[in-house]
Amino acid sequence: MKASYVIKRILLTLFIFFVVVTLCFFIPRIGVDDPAARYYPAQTAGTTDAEYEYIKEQTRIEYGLNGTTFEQYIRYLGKLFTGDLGKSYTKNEPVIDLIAERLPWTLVLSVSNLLISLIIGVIIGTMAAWRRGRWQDRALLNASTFTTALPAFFLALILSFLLGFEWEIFPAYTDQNMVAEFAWNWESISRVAYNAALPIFAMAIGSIVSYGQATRNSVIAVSEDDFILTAKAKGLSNNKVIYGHTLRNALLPIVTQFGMNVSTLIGGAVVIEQIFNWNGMGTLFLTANSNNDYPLMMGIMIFMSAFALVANLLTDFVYCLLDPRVTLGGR
Amino acid sequence: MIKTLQYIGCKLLRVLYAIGRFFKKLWMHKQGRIGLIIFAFLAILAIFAPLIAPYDPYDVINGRFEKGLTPSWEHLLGTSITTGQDIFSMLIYGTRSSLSIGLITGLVIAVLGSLLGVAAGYIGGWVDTVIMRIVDILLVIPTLPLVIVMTNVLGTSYVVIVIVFAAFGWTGLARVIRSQVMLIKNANYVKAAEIAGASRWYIMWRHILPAVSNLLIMSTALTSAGIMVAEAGLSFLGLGNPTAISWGKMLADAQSSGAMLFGHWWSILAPGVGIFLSVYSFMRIGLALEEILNPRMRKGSSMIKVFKHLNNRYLDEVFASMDDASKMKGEYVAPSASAALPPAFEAADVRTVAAQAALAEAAAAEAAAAEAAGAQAAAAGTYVPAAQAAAAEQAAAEEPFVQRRAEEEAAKQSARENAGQGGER
Amino acid sequence: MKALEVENLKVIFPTEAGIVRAVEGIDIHIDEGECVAIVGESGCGKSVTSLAVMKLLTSPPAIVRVDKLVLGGIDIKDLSDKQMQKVRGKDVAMIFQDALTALNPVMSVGKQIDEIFLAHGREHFIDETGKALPYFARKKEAKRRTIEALKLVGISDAELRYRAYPHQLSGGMRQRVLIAMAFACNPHLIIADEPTTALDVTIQAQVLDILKELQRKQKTSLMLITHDLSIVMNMADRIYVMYCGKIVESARTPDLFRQPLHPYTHGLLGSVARIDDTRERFVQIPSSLPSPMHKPEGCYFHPRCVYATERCRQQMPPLEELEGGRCVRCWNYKEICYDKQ
Repeated sequence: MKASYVIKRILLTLFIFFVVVTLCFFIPRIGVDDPAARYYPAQTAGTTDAEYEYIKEQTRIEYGLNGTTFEQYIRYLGKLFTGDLGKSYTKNEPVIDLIAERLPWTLVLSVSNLLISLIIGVIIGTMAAWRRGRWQDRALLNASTFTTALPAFFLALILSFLLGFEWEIFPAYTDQNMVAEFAWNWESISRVAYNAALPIFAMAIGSIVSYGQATRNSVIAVSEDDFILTAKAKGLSNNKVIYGHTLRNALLPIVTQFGMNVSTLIGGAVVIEQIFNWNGMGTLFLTANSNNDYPLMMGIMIFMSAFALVANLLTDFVYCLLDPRVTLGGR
Repeated sequence: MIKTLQYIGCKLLRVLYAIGRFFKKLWMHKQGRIGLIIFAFLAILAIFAPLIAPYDPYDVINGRFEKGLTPSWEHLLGTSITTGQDIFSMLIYGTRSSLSIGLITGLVIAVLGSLLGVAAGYIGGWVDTVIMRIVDILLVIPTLPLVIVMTNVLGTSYVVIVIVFAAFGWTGLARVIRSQVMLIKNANYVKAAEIAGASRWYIMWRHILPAVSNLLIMSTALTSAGIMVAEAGLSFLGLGNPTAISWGKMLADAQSSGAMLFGHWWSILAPGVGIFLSVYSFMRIGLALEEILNPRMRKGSSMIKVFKHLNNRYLDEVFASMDDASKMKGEYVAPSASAALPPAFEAADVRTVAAQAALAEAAAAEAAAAEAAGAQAAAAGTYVPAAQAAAAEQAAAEEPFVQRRAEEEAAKQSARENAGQGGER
Repeated sequence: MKALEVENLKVIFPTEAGIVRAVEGIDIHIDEGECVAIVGESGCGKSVTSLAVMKLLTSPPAIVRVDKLVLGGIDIKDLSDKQMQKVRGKDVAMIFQDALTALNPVMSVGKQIDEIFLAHGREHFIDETGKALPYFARKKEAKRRTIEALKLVGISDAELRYRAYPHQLSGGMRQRVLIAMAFACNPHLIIADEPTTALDVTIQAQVLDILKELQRKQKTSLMLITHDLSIVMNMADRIYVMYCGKIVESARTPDLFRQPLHPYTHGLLGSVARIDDTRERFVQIPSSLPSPMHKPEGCYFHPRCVYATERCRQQMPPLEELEGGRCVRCWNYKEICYDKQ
């Protein structure tokens, strides 16, 4: 029973991935007769029409745009299995290589943001629940409406203005040599941390508060449950009650939220990367967009979706491990 | 013909009445009131922008001034570095695009989400499967990149932006509505109606829609807030409508033209505050509605407030009133339930200033006397009716408690009325 | 030595709408090895009493005052929460009503019983030389004891059930786990708060048998909180009847059933079916419990009492002590003579 559910779940994931790929294949073809038309070099004076036709055909082959749409589609799917997402039009490099080059830099931002906000948020939320109704709790509530209404990119601008331009504590723009000169030594890593501080800070404030608020609500809901009374009646110490019983149950919904955030790890920092000129997937995507580099854009989209799908799948499985009530299959 | 008109008029009045009640409920809620006030302010700015704004930033001839002016009486927030438009006027005109996009998209999403959610939840079967699979797919694709691609392909007019946001934003609402509908569908009262022969449409209209409508309004407010942030982000990236003035674009222009380098902080702060206020008002309204829907949410803080207003003397009085007559020494005073609120409570309800001042004076004198008497009595071991002793302090300390009680009563009354009217329908 | 002495326990809950007076000065005494029942409708303050005895009511929301609170010879009135942790589970234990919600859903039941041994049984976890056992040895010993405790309450395949999660067990099984948990450290007093209300009638009898048997065997005192007089008849030695936060009558079980003095007790007994019943219909108590915020003046029971007089409407009667350890709170108990049942 269990295995059959796992297989079903994986098949569903594959189906969704297939639909996403199909969408990504057809979106750039909306309202366009010849999607390759964007990539043809201009017809120079010396070339005849026949020669130009040949050049066009070569371009089409280069970007996999030769033959009928259906042929292209099949070829696209086939290449996908080998991990080939096509070739970037502007950079003239395989899309997958470009992604591989930028991915670590985006992950530096988003993973550290996620971990920081998870840890601090859970601590703050637990404290607010503990001091329910007092000023700590009300401060968290007010902060949560405040930061949710404050777009991260505006916060980033303010931070980069204050800390970057006025007080010059952190760099307002990313040091572009950081990527090229990176090596696995202390100096290089601290340089990355120094440059990443502002973007991470700008992203983390909002998510810390959102984790905090979610944790608070969850902890309060659980601490009103009967089994917490049982635990206290058993004579367990406060620490045992909080860590062994309350948090263990209260963090289950947080796992779901964490999983959802993991799935947006790559695509969630587009604007922040743009503001700080950070060399990540977001800026790659925006450059691709402004250059109408569809293979690159669609490649990134597919990659992000695949990442989200795997993250969702893993979250579901992890949740089943953590909560014995949820058996795989019955939900 | 007249009957139809009467019928329509009747329905219309009912709807208007419901809307009025809804706003009244929101107004009674402190946070909701803040949201409503800010929203009304922004709405007035948006509607009367040409009258309020000192200049017309769309006017290419009369709306252009020297570039990069600092704030002065002429230009309250200076002028922009790139085009020389009056930033204050741009700020006011920017309300239009932000609010209209937020509201229109929010409404489209509300319609789309509720239709699909109700369809999935109520009809079930393959309809449910198909809709939920679509939700699954849309949830996996990263939203902002998808929207960027779509605007790249379809263009960046406001119509496209609204359609794209609506096409990808309905999933969350549909999920929530679906689960709510499934809950109601399986409730016993709906089952009973089905057994009694009620048609599908009747159940949908009478039972499901009313139950879902509150949820719908709440999440529309919250999605509108989210859409406004997203739109600001999109135009900040330079991917919004290039011809319109919007706060996101103002931010982007300020940043790219080096406003930070020149120290023109106002040109960044102003549109940011605009975005913040509009999103904040929608969120306040949404969250207030959420709290009105689930009053259990923030029980704790009121408890703390109650405990702050308690004092020992009052508690002593309450506890003493529970004692059996046989255990008391001295004169027997019949303990009564109404003794929970000492006589001074009623006195304090007299709201005239003079009466209150007189009362406070009298109370102070009485408190001193009572305290002395209490001390004596304790020493002598005799029983002094605590009501007197506590009354004095109550008059001063417990007054807010009483006022809140009155307010609470009023709120309850209105809630009861609402419930009654709901029942009538 | 008495297992429990409570004198003048009062509990209130201040709320925005006013003060809820949950318990209004009650005295409870339980002898060693005695089973005492507290009977009353839901909302009369029984459960709050039990929590107050465990000192599990927190402030806010509750305010508790008590003149004397002695548990198995230990005065726990002024103990801090930290000190109470050593008492709870060891000297006094509790069985809750709904075993499904009273057990942690994500922890195996065995682990949940282990916790008690690990928290209290320090003296069991030392080796021959008097040194504390290492961590894993303690865990192992706790598991052994848990399985023993599970067997004691009649759970078959105790080793297998040790690893089960609450939702995998049946209702009766879960209640047995709670009972095992309560008897784990052999406390002076066990408070059972409606232990069988959530169960089927057939399972109720089994669970009560186990409870009774264990109580007799281990000579534990039991405070049984219930609204069901039919349970009380077979279990309890003595009964306190509570109404609106006050004790209205207390007596030894046979006396109470033979001759109820308070009209409320009479009404409660009237709703119990007996095998020798010849009545056409049950006596019922009219109307329902008054709101704890707005209790009536005078005797709290007078609005529902068919025998109420003018005096009842004005003055709360005292709890009068009669011969044979009986108490009753009624002005007219001498005058009222109930129809022969």
